[in-house]
Amino acid sequence: MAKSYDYLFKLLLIGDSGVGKTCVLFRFSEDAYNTTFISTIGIDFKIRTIELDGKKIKLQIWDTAGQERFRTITTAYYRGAMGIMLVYDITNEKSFENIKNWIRNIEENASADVEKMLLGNKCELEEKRQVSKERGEQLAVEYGIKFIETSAKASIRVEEAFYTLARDIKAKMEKKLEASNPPKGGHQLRASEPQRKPTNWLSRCTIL
Amino acid sequence: MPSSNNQPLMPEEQEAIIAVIKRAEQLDLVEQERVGYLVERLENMRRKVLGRNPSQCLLCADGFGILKSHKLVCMDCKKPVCQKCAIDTCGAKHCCSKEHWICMICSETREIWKKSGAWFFKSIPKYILPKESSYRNNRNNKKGKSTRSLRDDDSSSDEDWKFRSKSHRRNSSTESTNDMREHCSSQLSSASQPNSSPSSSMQSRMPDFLKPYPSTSAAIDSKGDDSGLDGRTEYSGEGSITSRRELIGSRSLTDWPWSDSRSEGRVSPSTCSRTLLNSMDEHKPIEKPVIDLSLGTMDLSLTYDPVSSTLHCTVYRAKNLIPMDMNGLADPYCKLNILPSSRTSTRLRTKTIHKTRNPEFNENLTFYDISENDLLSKSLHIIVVDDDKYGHDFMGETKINLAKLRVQNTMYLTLALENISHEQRGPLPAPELCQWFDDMWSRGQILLSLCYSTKRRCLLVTVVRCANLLPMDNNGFSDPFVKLQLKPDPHHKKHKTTIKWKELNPTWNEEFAFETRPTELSTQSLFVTVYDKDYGKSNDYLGGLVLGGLGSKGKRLKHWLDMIKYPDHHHQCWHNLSEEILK
Repeated sequence: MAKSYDYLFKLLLIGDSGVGKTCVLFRFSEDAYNTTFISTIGIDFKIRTIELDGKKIKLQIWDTAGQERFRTITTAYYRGAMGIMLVYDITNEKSFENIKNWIRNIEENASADVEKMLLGNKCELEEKRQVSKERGEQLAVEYGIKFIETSAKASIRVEEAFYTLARDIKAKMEKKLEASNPPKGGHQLRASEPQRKPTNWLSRCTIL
Repeated sequence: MPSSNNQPLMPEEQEAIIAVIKRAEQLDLVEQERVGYLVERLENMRRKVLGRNPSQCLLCADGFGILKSHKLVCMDCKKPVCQKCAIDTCGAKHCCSKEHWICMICSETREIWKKSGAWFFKSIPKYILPKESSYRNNRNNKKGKSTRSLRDDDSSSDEDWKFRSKSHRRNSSTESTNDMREHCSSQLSSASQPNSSPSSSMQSRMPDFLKPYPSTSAAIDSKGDDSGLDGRTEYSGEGSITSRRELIGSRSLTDWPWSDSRSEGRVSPSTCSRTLLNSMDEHKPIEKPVIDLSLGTMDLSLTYDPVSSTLHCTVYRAKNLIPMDMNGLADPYCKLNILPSSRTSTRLRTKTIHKTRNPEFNENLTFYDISENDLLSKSLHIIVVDDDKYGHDFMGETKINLAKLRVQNTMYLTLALENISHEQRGPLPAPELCQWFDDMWSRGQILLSLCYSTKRRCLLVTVVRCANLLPMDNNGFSDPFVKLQLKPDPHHKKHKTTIKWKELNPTWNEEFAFETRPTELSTQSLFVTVYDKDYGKSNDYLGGLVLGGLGSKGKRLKHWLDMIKYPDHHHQCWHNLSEEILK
C-alpha cells in the first residue's frame, strides 16, 4: 500500500467573484500571492498533503469560479466535497450578504453531512472594512459553523483555516465510524483527537 | 445572486475546463488504484482466514483454552479471535472488557472505510485492482529492479503512482477528452440541470471488468448520481482497466504479491506482451446490454482457492431493492446456490437484514469441494428473498458464470438483479433452477384469482390450481383440497374445494364468495390452506398462505391491495405455499 498519504479529503471553495478564493488557495498550496486579478475559469484544484495526529492527509481543494455563468459546472462539484469553505470579502458588503445564497446552494447540491466553514478574506485591509468581525461571527453561529478571518495577501491564518477544516472532517470521520459500529462503552474522543472549542480560535481573531 | 447568465463558454474556456477535468481524472485514477490495493489486501486477509469453528481463533485457528490463547469476541463481526489477532479499540484508556476488541479484518475494514472516503460517500468508491506485473515490468526497465516486496510498496512515492497511471491511460486519453468536450458543451446547453456531473457522460459506458456475464447479469454502476469529484470517473480508462483484469487472470495464486509468504511475484516478459495485445483487442466497441435496474443491484466478490477447492463469496450489500411491506421496506436475505448441482450442500444463505431496502450483508460464505471443472460448467445463482413468517417472497435474482474465476481468482462485481421467468409464467423455469426453487418453496404453489364484486357485495375467490404439491400418500400422490376462510368475518363462512384424487398439480377453477364490504377488506385476511384428504385419520397439511392487508407482504400484499383498488376485475396470481400451519 502506498504510504504517500493516509486519507484523501476533498474540499471546495465557494463565494462571490473576486473575494479571493483562488488567492487563498494559492497561499495555502504554494505559499505565494499574485496581485493581478485573474478570474477563475470554471473550476480548478490544487493538492497539498498535510499531517494531522501522525496521519498524512492529502487535500484536494477545488477552487470554483464565482461568476454566475459557470454555475452549472461549479455546482456539479458540490456533491463530492467533504468540506466547503464559504469565502467572502470583508471589504465587500455584498459578498457577505450573498453568503446566505451560497449556503442555500450548498443545502441544495452538497452532501448533507458536509463540513462547512466561513472565511472572511482580505482582513489586512482594515481601513476598507465594511463587514465587522462580529457580524461574521454572528452569521457563523447562526449556521452553526466555524468562522475565521484570513488574509491571503498578508498570509494571515490561511493555514489555520484549512487545518481546522481538515481536523473537523477527520474528527467527523472517526466519530462516524465509531457510531456505525457502536461500542458498548463511551470512548468517543481519544486523547489524540482534537478538542472542538470554537472559542479558542475565535478569541485569536481579536489579535488584529 | 444575480440572475442566471447563459453566456456560452468560449472555446479556450472549454479547453481550460477540460484540462482541469483531465487532471482530476488522473488523480482519481491514482486514488482508485490506491483503494484497489487496500481492497486487495483486505480480501487476501479474508481469504486466509483459518478458523473454522467457534473454538478457534477466526484468523489464525489457534484453539482457546486456559493454557492457550484467551478468547475474545470481535465487536464488529462477533467472531471469536485470539489476543494476537485482535486490536483493542480503547487505545490508551484502561477499559479492556471484551467488547472493545476488534479483529484484524474488521479493523482493516474500518481503515478502508476511512482511507477510501467510503465513510463519507457511504460505500467503497470504485477501485482498480493492482496490476502488479506490468508495473513491475515498467519499473524493471526504468530502475533495474527485478523484484519488489511488500515493504517496497509501502514506500512507493507519489511519482510511482503518477508514472503508473500515465502508462495505463495512454491508450484511452484521447477518447476521454472527446467525451469531456461533449459533456462540457452539453452542460452549457442544459443549464436546467445543475446537478449533472462531469462524469455522467462517461458513466453511461460500462467498465468491462464489471461484466463477467454480459448476456444475463449486466454489471452496472449503481452510483449514478456521484459527481466527478469523488473519484469514480475511471471509465475513461476502460481499455486499460480491462487489460489489467486480464493480466490478473493470467497469474496463478502464488504469484500474488500479497500472498501469505509475501512472495515476490515475478512475471515473465512474455506475459506482459500478451497482455498488451489483449489490451489492444479490448478497444473494439463493446456491446451494451439494456439494463433494468428496477429490482436493485448487489455488490459481491468471489475468490476461488484452487488449493483447497473452495469458493469464497463475499456478499457486501444490495441496493435499491423493491419494497415488500406496507411500510415500503423489506427484510431481505440472499440465497446462494451453485447450479447445476444435485447436492443440497451447495446452498448457502446470508442472514436476514430487517427493515431495509439497502441491506449491508458483509458476509463471507464458502462453497467447499468446487473443482476447477465445476467452475467451467457451473454458475453461481443468487436470489434475494424477503424473509417472512409465511413463506418467502422473491425480490430478485442474478447469476454469475464461474468460468472466469478459473483464471482470475478474484472478481468484484456489481450486478443488477433480475426478474426470473419463474415468477411471471408460472412455476416452469429452467429445470435445475426450478429444482432449487421447488426445494426452497417445497410446499408448492397455488394460483388464486381475487375479485371484489360491487354488484354482489362480496369477495370472489377462485382457486384455479396448485402446482408441485407434496406427495403425502403411499402411491406418491396426494388427494388435495383447499380450505378458504376470511378473518375476521362476522358471517364465519368457511369454504372448501372438492377433492382432487391422486394429484400433485390439481386444477379446480372453483369460485367462492365471502360477503364483505370494501371498507372492511383492508383489515381482513384470507387464509388459504391446502390439505391432503385422508380417510380414517386426520387430513395432512400440505401448505398455506395468508393474503391480506395486515401481516402479509410482497406479492401477497400487492395482490390483496390490487383487488381492493380495482373492484370487479379478476386478479390472478401465483403464490408459494408456506409450511407454517395457519389456524
